[in-house]
Amino acid sequence: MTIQDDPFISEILTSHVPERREIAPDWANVLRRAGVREPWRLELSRRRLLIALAAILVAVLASALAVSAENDWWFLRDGPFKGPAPTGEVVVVATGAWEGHDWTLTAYRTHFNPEEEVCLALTPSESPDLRGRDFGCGMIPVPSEWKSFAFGFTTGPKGSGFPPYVLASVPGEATNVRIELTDGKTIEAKTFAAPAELGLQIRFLAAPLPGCPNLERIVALDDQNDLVAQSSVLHQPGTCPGEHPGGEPLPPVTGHR
Amino acid sequence: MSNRVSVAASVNKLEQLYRSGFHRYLRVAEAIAGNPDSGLDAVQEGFARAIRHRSDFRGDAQVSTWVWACVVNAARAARPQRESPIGEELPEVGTEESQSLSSVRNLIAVLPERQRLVLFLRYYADLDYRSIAGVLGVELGTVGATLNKAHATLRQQLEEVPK
Repeated sequence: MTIQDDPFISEILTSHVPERREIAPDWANVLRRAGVREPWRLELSRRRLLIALAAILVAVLASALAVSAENDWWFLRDGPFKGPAPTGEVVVVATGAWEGHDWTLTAYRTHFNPEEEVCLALTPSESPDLRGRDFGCGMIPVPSEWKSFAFGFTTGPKGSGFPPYVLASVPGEATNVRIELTDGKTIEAKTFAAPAELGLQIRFLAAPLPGCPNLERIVALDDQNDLVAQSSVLHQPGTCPGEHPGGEPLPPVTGHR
Repeated sequence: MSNRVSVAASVNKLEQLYRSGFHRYLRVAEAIAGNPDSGLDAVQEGFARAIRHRSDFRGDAQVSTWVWACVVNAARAARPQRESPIGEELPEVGTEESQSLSSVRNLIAVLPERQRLVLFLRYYADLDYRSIAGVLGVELGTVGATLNKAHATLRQQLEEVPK
Protein backbone atom coordinates (compact mmCIF):
# COMPACT_ATOMS: atom_id res chain seq x y z
CA MET A 1 0.00 0.00 0.00
CA THR A 2 1.33 3.43 -0.86
CA ILE A 3 1.97 5.73 2.03
CA GLN A 4 -0.19 8.78 1.60
CA ASP A 5 0.76 11.21 4.30
CA ASP A 6 -0.82 14.61 4.39
CA PRO A 7 2.13 16.98 3.79
CA PHE A 8 0.64 19.73 5.94
CA ILE A 9 -0.05 17.45 8.89
CA SER A 10 3.17 15.63 8.30
CA GLU A 11 5.15 18.85 8.59
CA ILE A 12 3.29 19.94 11.70
CA LEU A 13 3.67 16.59 13.42
CA THR A 14 7.26 15.95 12.51
CA SER A 15 8.20 19.42 13.69
CA HIS A 16 6.52 18.59 16.97
CA VAL A 17 8.04 15.22 17.56
CA PRO A 18 8.77 15.05 21.28
CA GLU A 19 12.34 15.96 22.00
CA ARG A 20 14.74 13.14 22.47
CA ARG A 21 15.35 12.76 26.16
CA GLU A 22 18.80 12.08 27.43
CA ILE A 23 17.98 8.72 28.89
CA ALA A 24 20.18 5.74 28.28
CA PRO A 25 18.65 2.35 27.52
CA ASP A 26 18.66 0.09 30.56
CA TRP A 27 18.42 -3.52 29.36
CA ALA A 28 19.34 -4.92 32.77
CA ASN A 29 16.21 -3.30 34.15
CA VAL A 30 14.13 -4.93 31.42
CA LEU A 31 15.60 -8.34 32.27
CA ARG A 32 14.91 -7.84 35.97
CA ARG A 33 11.29 -6.95 35.26
CA ALA A 34 10.97 -10.00 33.06
CA GLY A 35 12.35 -12.20 35.81
CA VAL A 36 15.37 -13.12 33.73
CA ARG A 37 18.85 -12.93 35.14
CA GLU A 38 21.54 -11.46 33.00
CA PRO A 39 23.83 -14.41 32.47
CA TRP A 40 27.31 -14.15 34.01
CA ARG A 41 27.26 -10.42 34.06
CA LEU A 42 25.63 -10.58 37.46
CA GLU A 43 27.87 -10.31 40.45
CA LEU A 44 27.44 -13.92 41.50
CA SER A 45 30.13 -14.96 43.90
CA ARG A 46 31.73 -18.32 43.33
CA ARG A 47 29.85 -19.79 46.26
CA ARG A 48 26.48 -18.46 45.14
CA LEU A 49 27.20 -19.75 41.69
CA LEU A 50 27.87 -23.26 42.99
CA ILE A 51 24.70 -23.17 45.08
CA ALA A 52 22.72 -22.03 42.07
CA LEU A 53 24.20 -24.78 39.90
CA ALA A 54 23.42 -27.41 42.54
CA ALA A 55 19.84 -26.16 42.80
CA ILE A 56 19.44 -26.27 39.04
CA LEU A 57 20.84 -29.81 38.96
CA VAL A 58 18.43 -30.97 41.66
CA ALA A 59 15.51 -29.30 39.88
CA VAL A 60 16.43 -30.87 36.55
CA LEU A 61 16.77 -34.34 38.11
CA ALA A 62 13.49 -34.02 39.98
CA SER A 63 11.78 -32.77 36.88
CA ALA A 64 13.20 -35.59 34.76
CA LEU A 65 12.11 -38.22 37.28
CA ALA A 66 8.65 -36.71 37.50
CA VAL A 67 7.98 -36.74 33.81
CA SER A 68 9.74 -39.93 32.84
CA ALA A 69 7.10 -42.30 34.17
CA GLU A 70 4.02 -41.09 32.36
CA ASN A 71 5.08 -38.30 30.07
CA ASP A 72 7.44 -39.90 27.64
CA TRP A 73 6.33 -37.71 24.80
CA TRP A 74 8.84 -36.62 22.20
CA PHE A 75 8.49 -32.99 23.26
CA LEU A 76 9.52 -33.80 26.82
CA ARG A 77 12.65 -35.73 25.94
CA ASP A 78 16.10 -34.29 26.33
CA GLY A 79 17.34 -32.63 23.19
CA PRO A 80 17.09 -29.43 21.27
CA PHE A 81 13.31 -29.60 20.93
CA LYS A 82 12.54 -30.33 24.53
CA GLY A 83 9.64 -28.27 25.83
CA PRO A 84 9.35 -26.79 29.30
CA ALA A 85 8.49 -29.12 32.19
CA PRO A 86 4.77 -29.73 32.72
CA THR A 87 3.14 -28.60 35.94
CA GLY A 88 0.34 -31.10 35.36
CA GLU A 89 -0.30 -34.09 33.18
CA VAL A 90 -0.13 -34.13 29.40
CA VAL A 91 -3.70 -34.53 28.19
CA VAL A 92 -5.01 -35.64 24.83
CA VAL A 93 -7.23 -32.88 23.45
CA ALA A 94 -8.31 -34.49 20.21
CA THR A 95 -7.40 -37.04 17.59
CA GLY A 96 -8.10 -36.94 13.90
CA ALA A 97 -6.79 -37.61 10.42
CA TRP A 98 -5.70 -35.34 7.58
CA GLU A 99 -5.18 -36.77 4.11
CA GLY A 100 -5.04 -40.26 5.58
CA HIS A 101 -2.56 -39.37 8.32
CA ASP A 102 -3.74 -39.83 11.90
CA TRP A 103 -2.70 -37.33 14.51
CA THR A 104 -3.05 -36.69 18.21
CA LEU A 105 -3.32 -33.22 19.70
CA THR A 106 -1.98 -32.93 23.25
CA ALA A 107 -1.66 -30.06 25.71
CA TYR A 108 -0.19 -29.40 29.11
CA ARG A 109 0.31 -26.56 31.53
CA THR A 110 3.71 -25.22 32.40
CA HIS A 111 5.25 -22.38 34.32
CA PHE A 112 7.29 -19.90 32.41
CA ASN A 113 8.65 -17.50 34.97
CA PRO A 114 6.75 -15.60 36.21
CA GLU A 115 3.59 -16.62 34.38
CA GLU A 116 1.70 -19.75 33.51
CA GLU A 117 1.62 -21.01 29.95
CA VAL A 118 0.00 -23.74 27.96
CA CYS A 119 1.90 -25.98 25.57
CA LEU A 120 0.39 -27.67 22.57
CA ALA A 121 1.73 -30.49 20.40
CA LEU A 122 0.52 -32.31 17.35
CA THR A 123 1.95 -35.78 17.00
CA PRO A 124 1.53 -38.04 13.96
CA SER A 125 0.13 -41.29 15.29
CA GLU A 126 1.67 -43.68 12.83
CA SER A 127 4.75 -41.98 11.46
CA PRO A 128 7.83 -43.80 12.76
CA ASP A 129 10.08 -40.77 12.43
CA LEU A 130 7.42 -38.32 13.63
CA ARG A 131 7.64 -36.17 10.54
CA GLY A 132 4.78 -33.72 10.63
CA ARG A 133 4.99 -33.08 14.36
CA ASP A 134 4.96 -29.61 15.84
CA PHE A 135 5.03 -28.09 19.28
CA GLY A 136 4.68 -24.67 20.82
CA CYS A 137 3.96 -22.92 24.10
CA GLY A 138 2.33 -19.59 24.79
CA MET A 139 0.43 -17.51 27.27
CA ILE A 140 -2.93 -18.82 28.40
CA PRO A 141 -5.38 -17.02 26.12
CA VAL A 142 -8.01 -14.82 27.70
CA PRO A 143 -10.49 -12.49 26.05
CA SER A 144 -9.23 -8.94 26.17
CA GLU A 145 -10.69 -5.58 25.37
CA TRP A 146 -7.92 -5.02 22.87
CA LYS A 147 -8.60 -8.36 21.15
CA SER A 148 -5.29 -8.52 19.40
CA PHE A 149 -2.34 -10.77 20.10
CA ALA A 150 -4.64 -12.48 22.55
CA PHE A 151 -3.44 -15.95 21.74
CA GLY A 152 -0.48 -17.75 20.32
CA PHE A 153 -0.27 -20.00 17.33
CA THR A 154 2.16 -22.21 15.53
CA THR A 155 2.14 -23.83 12.12
CA GLY A 156 3.13 -27.35 11.36
CA PRO A 157 5.84 -28.61 9.03
CA LYS A 158 5.21 -29.44 5.44
CA GLY A 159 6.83 -32.01 3.22
CA SER A 160 5.95 -34.74 5.67
CA GLY A 161 2.85 -36.21 4.09
CA PHE A 162 0.93 -33.94 6.38
CA PRO A 163 -0.62 -30.83 4.93
CA PRO A 164 0.60 -27.55 6.44
CA TYR A 165 -1.50 -26.84 9.49
CA VAL A 166 -2.07 -24.31 12.21
CA LEU A 167 -2.29 -24.94 15.94
CA ALA A 168 -3.49 -22.42 18.46
CA SER A 169 -4.91 -22.08 21.91
CA VAL A 170 -7.81 -19.63 22.00
CA PRO A 171 -10.04 -18.15 24.71
CA GLY A 172 -12.79 -20.45 26.01
CA GLU A 173 -15.52 -18.48 24.27
CA ALA A 174 -14.00 -19.08 20.85
CA THR A 175 -15.91 -22.04 19.45
CA ASN A 176 -14.95 -21.17 15.87
CA VAL A 177 -11.92 -19.79 14.16
CA ARG A 178 -11.64 -18.03 10.84
CA ILE A 179 -8.23 -18.28 9.23
CA GLU A 180 -7.65 -15.51 6.70
CA LEU A 181 -5.13 -16.04 3.94
CA THR A 182 -3.30 -13.34 2.04
CA ASP A 183 -4.98 -14.37 -1.21
CA GLY A 184 -8.33 -13.36 0.29
CA LYS A 185 -9.54 -16.88 0.97
CA THR A 186 -10.74 -17.88 4.40
CA ILE A 187 -10.91 -21.18 6.22
CA GLU A 188 -13.47 -21.83 8.94
CA ALA A 189 -12.69 -24.36 11.64
CA LYS A 190 -14.29 -25.57 14.85
CA THR A 191 -12.17 -25.54 17.99
CA PHE A 192 -11.72 -28.36 20.51
CA ALA A 193 -12.65 -27.93 24.16
CA ALA A 194 -9.86 -28.33 26.67
CA PRO A 195 -10.25 -31.56 28.64
CA ALA A 196 -11.33 -31.00 32.25
CA GLU A 197 -8.03 -32.41 33.56
CA LEU A 198 -6.28 -29.41 32.11
CA GLY A 199 -8.26 -27.09 34.38
CA LEU A 200 -8.35 -24.23 31.88
CA GLN A 201 -11.31 -22.51 30.27
CA ILE A 202 -9.73 -22.42 26.86
CA ARG A 203 -10.14 -24.21 23.54
CA PHE A 204 -7.72 -25.43 20.93
CA LEU A 205 -7.44 -25.14 17.20
CA ALA A 206 -5.85 -27.71 14.91
CA ALA A 207 -6.69 -27.13 11.27
CA PRO A 208 -5.07 -28.17 7.99
CA LEU A 209 -4.25 -25.49 5.43
CA PRO A 210 -4.53 -25.84 1.67
CA GLY A 211 -1.30 -25.90 -0.32
CA CYS A 212 1.23 -23.40 0.87
CA PRO A 213 -0.82 -20.35 1.82
CA ASN A 214 0.39 -17.22 3.54
CA LEU A 215 -1.59 -16.52 6.66
CA GLU A 216 -2.89 -13.01 7.10
CA ARG A 217 -4.84 -13.26 10.32
CA ILE A 218 -6.44 -15.73 12.67
CA VAL A 219 -9.76 -14.64 14.10
CA ALA A 220 -11.39 -16.39 17.06
CA LEU A 221 -15.20 -16.17 17.12
CA ASP A 222 -17.83 -17.15 19.67
CA ASP A 223 -20.96 -19.14 18.86
CA GLN A 224 -22.72 -15.92 17.83
CA ASN A 225 -19.90 -15.30 15.38
CA ASP A 226 -18.70 -12.30 17.38
CA LEU A 227 -15.00 -11.53 17.57
CA VAL A 228 -13.29 -12.84 20.70
CA ALA A 229 -9.65 -12.41 19.78
CA GLN A 230 -7.44 -12.11 16.77
CA SER A 231 -3.83 -12.49 15.90
CA SER A 232 -2.04 -10.93 12.96
CA VAL A 233 0.40 -13.28 11.38
CA LEU A 234 2.34 -11.15 8.96
CA HIS A 235 4.34 -13.84 7.26
CA GLN A 236 7.18 -12.47 5.30
CA PRO A 237 6.62 -12.82 1.58
CA GLY A 238 7.46 -16.25 0.30
CA THR A 239 7.40 -17.90 3.71
CA CYS A 240 5.29 -21.01 3.96
CA PRO A 241 3.54 -22.01 7.15
CA GLY A 242 5.52 -24.89 8.51
CA GLU A 243 8.89 -23.54 7.59
CA HIS A 244 10.56 -23.02 10.88
CA PRO A 245 12.84 -20.09 11.64
CA GLY A 246 15.88 -20.33 9.49
CA GLY A 247 13.98 -22.39 6.95
CA GLU A 248 15.05 -25.65 8.55
CA PRO A 249 12.33 -28.24 9.05
CA LEU A 250 12.33 -30.18 12.31
CA PRO A 251 14.61 -33.20 11.92
CA PRO A 252 13.07 -36.62 12.40
CA VAL A 253 13.08 -38.43 15.73
CA THR A 254 11.98 -41.94 16.51
CA GLY A 255 8.94 -43.02 18.51
CA HIS A 256 6.48 -40.66 20.08
CA ARG A 257 6.13 -42.28 23.49
CA MET B 1 3.50 -19.93 19.97
CA SER B 2 6.76 -21.03 18.58
CA ASN B 3 9.28 -23.70 19.17
CA ARG B 4 11.67 -23.26 22.04
CA VAL B 5 14.59 -23.77 19.71
CA SER B 6 15.00 -20.11 19.04
CA VAL B 7 14.25 -18.78 22.52
CA ALA B 8 17.80 -17.66 23.31
CA ALA B 9 18.10 -16.01 19.93
CA SER B 10 14.82 -14.23 20.57
CA VAL B 11 16.14 -12.54 23.69
CA ASN B 12 19.17 -11.39 21.76
CA LYS B 13 16.93 -10.11 19.01
CA LEU B 14 14.78 -8.28 21.53
CA GLU B 15 17.85 -6.69 23.07
CA GLN B 16 18.98 -5.64 19.62
CA LEU B 17 15.62 -4.03 18.89
CA TYR B 18 15.59 -2.36 22.29
CA ARG B 19 19.03 -0.84 21.95
CA SER B 20 18.66 0.24 18.34
CA GLY B 21 15.19 1.72 18.69
CA PHE B 22 15.08 2.80 22.31
CA HIS B 23 14.43 6.49 21.69
CA ARG B 24 11.72 5.78 19.12
CA TYR B 25 9.93 3.45 21.53
CA LEU B 26 10.33 6.06 24.26
CA ARG B 27 8.95 8.85 22.09
CA VAL B 28 5.85 6.87 21.15
CA ALA B 29 5.29 5.49 24.64
CA GLU B 30 5.56 8.97 26.16
CA ALA B 31 3.08 10.30 23.65
CA ILE B 32 0.60 7.50 24.36
CA ALA B 33 1.04 7.41 28.12
CA GLY B 34 0.87 11.17 28.37
CA ASN B 35 3.94 11.80 30.48
CA PRO B 36 7.66 11.02 30.33
CA ASP B 37 7.93 8.82 33.42
CA SER B 38 5.02 6.61 32.45
CA GLY B 39 6.41 6.44 28.91
CA LEU B 40 9.78 5.19 30.09
CA ASP B 41 8.09 2.72 32.39
CA ALA B 42 5.96 1.51 29.48
CA VAL B 43 8.99 0.87 27.27
CA GLN B 44 10.70 -1.13 30.01
CA GLU B 45 7.53 -3.03 30.83
CA GLY B 46 6.68 -3.60 27.18
CA PHE B 47 10.04 -5.24 26.54
CA ALA B 48 9.85 -7.20 29.80
CA ARG B 49 6.48 -8.51 28.65
CA ALA B 50 7.95 -9.32 25.25
CA ILE B 51 10.62 -11.41 26.98
CA ARG B 52 8.11 -13.16 29.20
CA HIS B 53 5.91 -14.00 26.23
CA ARG B 54 8.63 -14.41 23.62
CA SER B 55 7.35 -17.86 22.80
CA ASP B 56 4.15 -16.29 21.48
CA PHE B 57 5.60 -15.04 18.26
CA ARG B 58 7.01 -17.04 15.42
CA GLY B 59 10.41 -16.46 13.95
CA ASP B 60 8.93 -15.89 10.54
CA ALA B 61 6.65 -13.10 11.74
CA GLN B 62 7.83 -9.54 12.17
CA VAL B 63 9.36 -9.52 15.62
CA SER B 64 9.63 -5.75 15.55
CA THR B 65 5.89 -5.42 14.93
CA TRP B 66 5.12 -7.70 17.81
CA VAL B 67 7.45 -5.75 20.09
CA TRP B 68 5.79 -2.51 19.09
CA ALA B 69 2.45 -4.03 20.08
CA CYS B 70 3.88 -4.93 23.50
CA VAL B 71 5.17 -1.39 24.05
CA VAL B 72 1.98 0.24 22.78
CA ASN B 73 -0.16 -1.95 25.02
CA ALA B 74 2.03 -1.16 28.03
CA ALA B 75 1.79 2.55 27.25
CA ARG B 76 -1.98 2.34 26.84
CA ALA B 77 -2.22 0.64 30.21
CA ALA B 78 -0.15 3.45 31.73
CA ARG B 79 -2.35 6.18 30.34
CA PRO B 80 -4.82 7.75 32.78
CA GLN B 81 -8.32 6.45 32.12
CA ARG B 82 -9.91 9.55 30.70
CA GLU B 83 -10.78 9.50 27.07
CA SER B 84 -12.23 12.41 25.16
CA PRO B 85 -14.08 11.18 22.11
CA ILE B 86 -13.85 13.38 19.12
CA GLY B 87 -16.66 15.90 18.91
CA GLU B 88 -16.31 16.97 22.48
CA GLU B 89 -15.12 20.43 23.28
CA LEU B 90 -11.54 20.94 22.24
CA PRO B 91 -9.11 22.79 24.45
CA GLU B 92 -8.59 26.45 23.69
CA VAL B 93 -5.58 27.25 21.58
CA GLY B 94 -4.00 30.62 22.23
CA THR B 95 -3.19 32.89 19.31
CA GLU B 96 0.43 33.31 20.23
CA GLU B 97 0.93 29.67 20.68
CA SER B 98 -0.96 28.59 17.63
CA GLN B 99 0.67 25.53 16.13
CA SER B 100 2.99 25.37 19.07
CA LEU B 101 4.03 22.13 20.60
CA SER B 102 1.41 22.27 23.32
CA SER B 103 -1.44 23.22 21.00
CA VAL B 104 -0.69 20.43 18.56
CA ARG B 105 -0.42 18.00 21.43
CA ASN B 106 -3.72 19.25 22.82
CA LEU B 107 -5.39 18.71 19.50
CA ILE B 108 -3.99 15.21 19.22
CA ALA B 109 -4.92 14.45 22.80
CA VAL B 110 -8.62 14.76 22.11
CA LEU B 111 -8.64 12.50 19.07
CA PRO B 112 -10.15 9.04 19.54
CA GLU B 113 -7.60 6.57 20.79
CA ARG B 114 -7.16 4.63 17.57
CA GLN B 115 -6.51 7.81 15.61
CA ARG B 116 -3.94 8.93 18.17
CA LEU B 117 -2.18 5.58 18.07
CA VAL B 118 -2.05 5.54 14.29
CA LEU B 119 -0.64 9.08 14.23
CA PHE B 120 2.04 8.27 16.81
CA LEU B 121 3.06 5.08 15.07
CA ARG B 122 3.17 6.75 11.69
CA TYR B 123 4.90 10.01 12.57
CA TYR B 124 6.81 9.33 15.79
CA ALA B 125 7.79 5.71 15.09
CA ASP B 126 7.91 6.07 11.30
CA LEU B 127 6.18 2.71 10.79
CA ASP B 128 4.61 1.87 7.44
CA TYR B 129 0.91 1.07 7.13
CA ARG B 130 1.41 -2.67 7.15
CA SER B 131 3.42 -2.57 10.36
CA ILE B 132 0.86 -0.28 12.00
CA ALA B 133 -1.89 -2.71 11.03
CA GLY B 134 0.10 -5.50 12.65
CA VAL B 135 0.76 -3.54 15.82
CA LEU B 136 -2.87 -2.56 16.27
CA GLY B 137 -4.34 -5.81 14.98
CA VAL B 138 -6.48 -4.09 12.37
CA GLU B 139 -6.90 -4.35 8.62
CA LEU B 140 -4.49 -2.53 6.36
CA GLY B 141 -7.34 -0.42 4.96
CA THR B 142 -8.38 0.59 8.45
CA VAL B 143 -5.00 2.19 9.01
CA GLY B 144 -5.34 4.38 5.93
CA ALA B 145 -8.91 5.32 6.77
CA THR B 146 -8.07 6.11 10.39
CA LEU B 147 -5.09 8.19 9.38
CA ASN B 148 -7.17 10.11 6.85
CA LYS B 149 -9.77 10.83 9.48
CA ALA B 150 -7.12 12.04 11.92
CA HIS B 151 -5.53 14.21 9.23
CA ALA B 152 -8.87 15.77 8.35
CA THR B 153 -9.73 16.53 11.95
CA LEU B 154 -6.31 17.98 12.73
CA ARG B 155 -6.24 20.02 9.56
CA GLN B 156 -9.64 21.46 10.34
CA GLN B 157 -8.66 22.31 13.91
CA LEU B 158 -5.32 23.79 12.90
CA GLU B 159 -6.90 25.92 10.19
CA GLU B 160 -9.42 27.23 12.68
CA VAL B 161 -6.66 28.49 14.93
CA PRO B 162 -6.51 32.31 14.69
CA LYS B 163 -3.47 33.48 12.80
